[in-house]
Amino acid sequence: MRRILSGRLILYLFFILILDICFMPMIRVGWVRPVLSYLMVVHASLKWGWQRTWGLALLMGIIREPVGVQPIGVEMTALVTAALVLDFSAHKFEHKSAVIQAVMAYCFVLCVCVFSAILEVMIVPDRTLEWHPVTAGIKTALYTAALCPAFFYFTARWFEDRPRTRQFELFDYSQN
Amino acid sequence: MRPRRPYYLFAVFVLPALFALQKYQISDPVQIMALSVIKPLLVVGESASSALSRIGSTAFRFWDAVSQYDAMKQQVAVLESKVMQTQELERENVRLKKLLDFRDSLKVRSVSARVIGWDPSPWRKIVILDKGTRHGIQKDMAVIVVEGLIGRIFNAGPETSKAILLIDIDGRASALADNSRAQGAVGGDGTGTLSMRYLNLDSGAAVGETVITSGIGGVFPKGIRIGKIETISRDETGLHLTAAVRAFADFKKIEEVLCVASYPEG
Repeated sequence: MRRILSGRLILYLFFILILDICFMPMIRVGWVRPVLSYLMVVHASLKWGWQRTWGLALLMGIIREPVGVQPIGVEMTALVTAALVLDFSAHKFEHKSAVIQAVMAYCFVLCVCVFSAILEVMIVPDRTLEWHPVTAGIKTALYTAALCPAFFYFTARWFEDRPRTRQFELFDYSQN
Repeated sequence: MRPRRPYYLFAVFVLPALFALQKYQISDPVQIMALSVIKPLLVVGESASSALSRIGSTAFRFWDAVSQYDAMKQQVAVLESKVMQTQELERENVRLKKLLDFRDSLKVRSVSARVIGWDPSPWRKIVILDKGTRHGIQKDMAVIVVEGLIGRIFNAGPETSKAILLIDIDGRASALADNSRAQGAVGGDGTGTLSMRYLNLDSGAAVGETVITSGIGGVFPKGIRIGKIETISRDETGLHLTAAVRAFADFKKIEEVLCVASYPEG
């Protein structure tokens, strides 16, 4: 299983953070842009088979929050909470199909956006819960889920993931 | 059997921790420091994305440019005559202002900056600029482009600063309509549109009027263009009018901005 504090993974997390800040605004539709950082957690859960992704979600939150504008701790908490839900879903549902993976990515991104909005209302004084973050979260989740296949492909190439193969030993040579 | 982890304890401890973090206000210094550290990466990223964007738009517009050459030539001739008329009006304005004993130009401190990124939150309209307090940018400076006002500086570090756009859910500017002098507050609702709120029912605001900053509050200098009124209707309470404002500035294509101090120099 891949280590969470490996240099390659942390470098990749910073790389996709720069993509989120500098390049994703270029490909926005209206005011909706995808968030690749959230897809990384989904990739770890669905493609690498991590049973607990809250550690990666926490690390992603620690990297993203200092450059954001939300209060410290809000996005981190939302990511970790959504990761717990994702872990449960990945354990319960079959997720080999690309469509199922996209649906789970959509649900994960939507959970993060909604949890962030709710936590911000609870933490920040004079902030009221409005529909705009929820509708923005729905559109962002749709756009982000649509990029799942491309993101999973390039991430697999970056980490040189090989498909798991099974070897069947036809003859037991240990007795000779 | 492995004992079940009490995940609910996570929520019991996390929420008080979040409240404590908010109380000691450590968000701003941490965010300022982090932006200063990753500024070089953002500058490189922005340069690459600008180059990609320019290549794409150049290729796309090449074929249009060839067919529009003749029309553009005629338009240039019309514009040149308008420039001459404008220059004449400007000279007349100078004379009239001298007569009224007005100062010709207000000296305000200004700093130019480049947009190097956008806030990572999907629903916020906040841009990251490549200059900070070291270059003369301070909190609450107005941020403008050639077309008009786009926002204000709400967080300034030594190397970078963040500007909240008017179309952001927290973007606000006190404004008035230039003809009727109706006063209100222009702000965004987070969806990319502007509206002017809290207009009096008998304010006389009309469709087509230009909205400018009123200078009330001391954040934005008076007289900066914001947009044009498109529609006017009563708000939910029925006590005020709300006007939809079409901004002069294109918020999706912000590249270079000017940060202007509210008060004159000297």
